[in-house]
Amino acid sequence: MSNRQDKIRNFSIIAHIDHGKSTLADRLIEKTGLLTLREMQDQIMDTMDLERERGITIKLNTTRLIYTAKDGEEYTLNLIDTPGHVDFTYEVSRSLAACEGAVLVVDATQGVEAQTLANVHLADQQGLEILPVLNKIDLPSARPDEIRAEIEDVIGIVADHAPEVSAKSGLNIEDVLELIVNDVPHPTGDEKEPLKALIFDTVYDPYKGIVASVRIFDGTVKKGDTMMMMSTGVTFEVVEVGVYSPSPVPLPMIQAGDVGYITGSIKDVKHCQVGDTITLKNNPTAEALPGYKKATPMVYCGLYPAEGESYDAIRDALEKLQLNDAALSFEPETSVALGFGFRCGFLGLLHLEIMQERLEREFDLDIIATAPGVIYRVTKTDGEVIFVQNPSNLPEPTEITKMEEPIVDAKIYIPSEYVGNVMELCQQRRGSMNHMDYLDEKRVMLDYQLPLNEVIYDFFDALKTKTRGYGSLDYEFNGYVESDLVKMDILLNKENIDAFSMIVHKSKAASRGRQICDRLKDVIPRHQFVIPIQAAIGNKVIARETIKALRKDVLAKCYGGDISRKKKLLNKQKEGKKRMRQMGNVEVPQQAFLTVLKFDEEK
Amino acid sequence: MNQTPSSLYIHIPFCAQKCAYCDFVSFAAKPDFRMEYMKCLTKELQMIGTKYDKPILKTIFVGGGTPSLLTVEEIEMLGQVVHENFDMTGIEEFSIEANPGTLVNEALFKWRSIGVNRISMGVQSMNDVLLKKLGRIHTSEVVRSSFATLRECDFDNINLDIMFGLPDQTYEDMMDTVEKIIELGPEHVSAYSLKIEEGTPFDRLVDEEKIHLPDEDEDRKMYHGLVKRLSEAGYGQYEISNFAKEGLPCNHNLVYWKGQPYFAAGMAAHGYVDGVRIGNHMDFESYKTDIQDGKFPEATREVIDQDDAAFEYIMLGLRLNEGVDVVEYNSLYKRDIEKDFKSVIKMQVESGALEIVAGFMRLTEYGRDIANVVIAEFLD
Repeated sequence: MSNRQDKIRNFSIIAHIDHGKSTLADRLIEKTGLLTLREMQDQIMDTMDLERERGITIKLNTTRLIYTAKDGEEYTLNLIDTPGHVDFTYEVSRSLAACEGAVLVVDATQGVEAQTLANVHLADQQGLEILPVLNKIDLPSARPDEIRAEIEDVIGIVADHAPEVSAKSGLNIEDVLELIVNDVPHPTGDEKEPLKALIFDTVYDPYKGIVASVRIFDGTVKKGDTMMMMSTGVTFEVVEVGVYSPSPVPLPMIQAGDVGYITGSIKDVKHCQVGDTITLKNNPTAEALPGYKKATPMVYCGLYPAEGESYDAIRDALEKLQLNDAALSFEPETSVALGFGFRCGFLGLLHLEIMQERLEREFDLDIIATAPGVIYRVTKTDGEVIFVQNPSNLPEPTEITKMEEPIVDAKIYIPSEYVGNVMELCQQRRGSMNHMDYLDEKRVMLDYQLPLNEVIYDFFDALKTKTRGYGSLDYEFNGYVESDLVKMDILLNKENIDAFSMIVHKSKAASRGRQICDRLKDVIPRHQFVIPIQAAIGNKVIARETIKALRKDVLAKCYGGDISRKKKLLNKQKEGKKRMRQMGNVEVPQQAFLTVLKFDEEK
Repeated sequence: MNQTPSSLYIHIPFCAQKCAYCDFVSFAAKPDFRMEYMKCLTKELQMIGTKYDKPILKTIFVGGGTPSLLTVEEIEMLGQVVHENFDMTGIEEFSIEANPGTLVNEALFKWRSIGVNRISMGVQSMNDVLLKKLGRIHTSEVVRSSFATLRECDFDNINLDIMFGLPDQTYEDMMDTVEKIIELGPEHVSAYSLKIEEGTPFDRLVDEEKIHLPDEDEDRKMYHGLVKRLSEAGYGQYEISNFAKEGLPCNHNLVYWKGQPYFAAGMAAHGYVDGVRIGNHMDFESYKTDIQDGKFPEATREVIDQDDAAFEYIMLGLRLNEGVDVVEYNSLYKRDIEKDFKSVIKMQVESGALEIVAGFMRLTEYGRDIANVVIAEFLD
């Protein structure tokens, strides 16, 4: 046991969205002198544009801070940034396992919210020391004493010594650093023991291959060692080790208690799995570290190349994305309507949307996504139990004994005046209430059981609307429940377009069918023949709209001065057609798919 | 088409007042301004005549605005410069546009004297209530008397323009106008479906939902109604919006539809010369400045290569009832239309919009209703 580890603190910052986690991280980095104010872009740790746009962190980033405490000693503080959205609890748990403590940031004007609790729960699971910090103390609406009480009551941790800070202005930031030094336990590994390093994140670097972010629990690793992945037994020569400061800084070695990275020219992400333990071939550790919760995709959709887009390009992009995102899953599939594509699995709708945007923006791909859906559990008449993600793979109704859908336990936090509205919303979404708690006179927590397929579309948006933005939500998978589910097809000009099929609850089929038909009618252009749009369950048509045949499209006057203009218009018309997809003899614009995807609240 | 044009378009942008539906370059103009304009126009015509070495003209069209507002003096100016700078010995058709109620005998005789042998008069409707709504300056009575005046002045080739699909216009209203037109007995009729152009008073009124337009079905009913009636009365349809008595189509316009070249003079005028489509300046200042500098007042130029020309041949040719001469197209553009557009033609023939008869590819009656769609299919 060296006393080197006495001076190390490994911690994360956890919080509900917008409580100031990233700003605090920036202040800590600044305070420990790593970067000047000018060098810091706002929220430097949120490096991706997309993240910045949405105000959330997606990727993990770690950094080492060197802090000289009030006791005069120099400490190494390893800060691991974590994402804060309900879809990414998996990613949060990964970084937490690398820490001994967690700084819990609570907005002093908002108090304990959905993800505050969710994150605390995860930190608890990892056995971390949780240190509350009250943020935004400079705001006039800050109520520190109330929030302190809330933390003690609701979370059950002592908060009377919680520092009051303003991450935005930099007020009392040293108190947080002192808190970390004093209250986060130091690591207690043994650098002489065989190497035991936990991979808590991976990043793909075009030159270095896959870079593993690691927390060393025991042992030492340096360049030239032969490392071994315990789950697969695959070995690699260590090319480089180092720490993040926040950019990678190579070091001769890293040891027990450290947080850093290892590279080994690893090309295949399967050889560097998050949750795996790295040890040395020549002196392997006996037991691997307990793994993380395996990320289970909950929401699926089909991703297909748009007209003229390359299937291979999409596959390559998905492979690249997967290198950095173990939670993304995909496999090839085909659709009669859309051709060759992929069935992709995501942690949730946000994850799905972000992946789609990344494919479109970072990889410049033109893709069509089918409606997102969940996995259903189907028991067939022959006794076989299968899981169905793609509605087109659902067996015939005559072959099905029962169908089950995934349900979630949702915790909804709202101001009390919206209780009626929100209960109505949950009812509409086939929810059943487990219980309701008053957090204080003004806020309520509703615990509802809801079908996942009612939550993934726009439940969150509806919740926000009904609570004027004050509502928040956290949900967790809670098993399967038998349900009256049907497959709804959409037919265009009497032809079933498989890409539009969805599995819906029987009670929702007619209204959803009507909505889709209505939307498609607006989006599909008129043709030289009448187009019936139908929603059907089996042979039964449950909703219908009709697009009239084109009756008139002619230019009355075309004289000398009109010719150029006319040509331009016709060219534009033709260009517009290029973004269409031929389905049978109906030309469908790509946005038709989005139309089916996005649902507004029913009017 | 690199042959020298034998057609000329001249633009006179003056009007007494602006009609509610009009998006042409036209405005009320003071005498001083008019003189300035005429001087520039004169110079421009001289420049054209000089550059192309007194080209032979077969057709001339003076459009606007309201050319019939020109004074005797102005007409004289125009006539002189045209005759001096162009070879008028073979002139077949010299048209001007006129507004009912602006006709002055002296001016008409002057037009005749410089060679004008065709008048195109805008009527739009013989329903006085409707005429007012359109912002026209005349009544149906004025149309009749103006028409009579034209005949008195020996104009034996007259076109009347009418419009359908007008706000609050009924099918009966429109057919009534058609009857009255037939009664007057012009040589040629143009019938246009009202198009609401952006930025016009009508556009605003439609946005504000203050006027009600006939829907698509009513519009088509009117169109097919008038086509039939005019045909019965001897006005064969030869283009989407144009009808003429035997042998009397507008030859100048045929030049457009056959993709042939033409000169342009005046503000906002368009020409097609040496394979380039030209648009003259839309504002007087720029127009004047260029001319004073001895430059052609071109605001826009579009080079038409073989592929463009080939498409235009179809785009414009299909507007004519007779359609596109397949052999001529194939030989002009070294193509094989039936092979190049095999599937398009098949589909449109099957849909009933297109037919190929006696070597001509043409739109059917139904095809004329959706001409844009069919034509767009022939874009590469």
